Amino acid sequence: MKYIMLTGRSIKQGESIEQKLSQNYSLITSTCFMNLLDMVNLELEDGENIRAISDSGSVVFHVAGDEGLKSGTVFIPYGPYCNMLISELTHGSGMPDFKSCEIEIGRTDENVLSVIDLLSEAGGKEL
Amino acid sequence: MKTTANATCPFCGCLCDDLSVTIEDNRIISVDNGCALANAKFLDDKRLQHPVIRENNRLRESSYEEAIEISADLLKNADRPLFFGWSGTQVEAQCAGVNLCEVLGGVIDNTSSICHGPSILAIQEVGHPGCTLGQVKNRADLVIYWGCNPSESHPRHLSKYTTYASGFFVKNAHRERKLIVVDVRKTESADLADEFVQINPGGDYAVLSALRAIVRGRSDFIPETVSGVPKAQLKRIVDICKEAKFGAIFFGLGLTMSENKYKNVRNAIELTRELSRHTKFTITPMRGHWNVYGANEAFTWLTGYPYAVDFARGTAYYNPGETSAVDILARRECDVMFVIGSDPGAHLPRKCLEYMSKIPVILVDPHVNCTSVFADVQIPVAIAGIETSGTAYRMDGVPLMTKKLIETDFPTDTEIINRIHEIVVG
Repeated sequence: MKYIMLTGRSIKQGESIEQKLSQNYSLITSTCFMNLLDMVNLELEDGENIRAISDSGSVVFHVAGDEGLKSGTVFIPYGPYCNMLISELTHGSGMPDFKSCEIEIGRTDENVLSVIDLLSEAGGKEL
Repeated sequence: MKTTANATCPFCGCLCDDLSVTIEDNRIISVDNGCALANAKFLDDKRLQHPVIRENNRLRESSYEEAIEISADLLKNADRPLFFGWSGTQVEAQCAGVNLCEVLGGVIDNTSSICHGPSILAIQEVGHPGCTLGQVKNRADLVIYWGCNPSESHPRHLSKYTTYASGFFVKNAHRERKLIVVDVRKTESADLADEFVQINPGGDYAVLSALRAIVRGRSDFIPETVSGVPKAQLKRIVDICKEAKFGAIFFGLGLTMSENKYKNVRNAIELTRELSRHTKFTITPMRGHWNVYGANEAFTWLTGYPYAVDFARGTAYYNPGETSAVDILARRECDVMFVIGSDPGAHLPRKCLEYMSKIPVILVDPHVNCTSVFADVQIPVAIAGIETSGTAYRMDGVPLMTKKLIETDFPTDTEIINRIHEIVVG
């Protein structure tokens, strides 16, 4: 099943925005919120990990239930984790598809990467 | 210990200018009236203390002189430098940045291109029936939040200007002012609404079109559900809108970042126009990153265009989708990137980051952030809006002079840009 990934501001993400290499920011921006029934169908519980795959990349997230989401949609706070899945194509508008990216989701035992390790996969250098 | 009243918050586009900031020994120790985002911004005390330069793939400390000279050399020797960011700094620095880019024949883009750039494209097509937030507070008896979640992105918007803000003609806002929220997600803001409209992802354009048809009296054309919204609810929404004396629509990135992008915004503006045939309606983008509106203003005064401005031809050229930062990076076109007042390392797609890792990146920012991981030079500066005074624009286009609250030895954004400029022009 394909899911539509919505990315957006959350207040916790906004609070941690000046400390982007911290564990706190990593935890907040690597959390994928899902519809509760979708979680049941994937046999997922809060705090377990998933691997999300799009045409542009693949990233491990923590998962958390959100009653406000329709089935087939997930919400991930803005940050480097969700952006690893977003295509660079803008359809001539300058704006990527930050709120209409199709992803596939599967349960995984892999760990969520730190922000630095995640960025190093995209060519990020040592600090 | 001293308290500065009426300080302006440098976080989101609300630019709340009623904060009380208490300072002891030149450190901010408390903030009153601020939201959670403001408190985090004002009370943060971790920052980069010295400029750093990458050598042998490791960052080492340097002097300001050395970091500025290396930055100037990189820019001077570049064929196509890209200047990106600008929303986290003041108009004075934005103007200095445009001047530097023009001298170098570079391309300059602000973060609009990945937030409300599509809104600007729509406004350029059909105009902007907007108003100030003061008008909304004093007059609006109906507020619609479409594709935005102000409870989390602009936490004081509801208490300063809408749901909880009583005004001159709206004496008891919470009772007299209706709230409609339209979103694909049932957010905290949706929980506060008198009417919540949950649409399917990508369904905004169709729902806006259906509402326009119903306003025009052609509900016979509308199917029983439109993008997940029952026709009965759409008709109810139109009735509420027509009964309002003054309706204010606020829209967020739910329109600009989803399918159809600027066409969604154009449709929302056209709905505003349709409703204004019956009553008074206005529409306002929820500008997110502090002074991003100011960046659009400063760019427009100086170049004629609000963002994505290319000086490579010797004159300003504007074509979002071609001259915008994401597209230039995706085409692997720029050969140096200068970043200020934003963090593209956290907010651009992967392919853009992969290219940033291949070219020299100069970062002007007080904090170590995701772009630091790609930077070859980082120059720490005074925190704009807290340690520097200057002009910033609120989301409704009102310019405010921000106060310098504490003293600092760190140079300002403007000083760094001007020092680079002096070296570049010899």
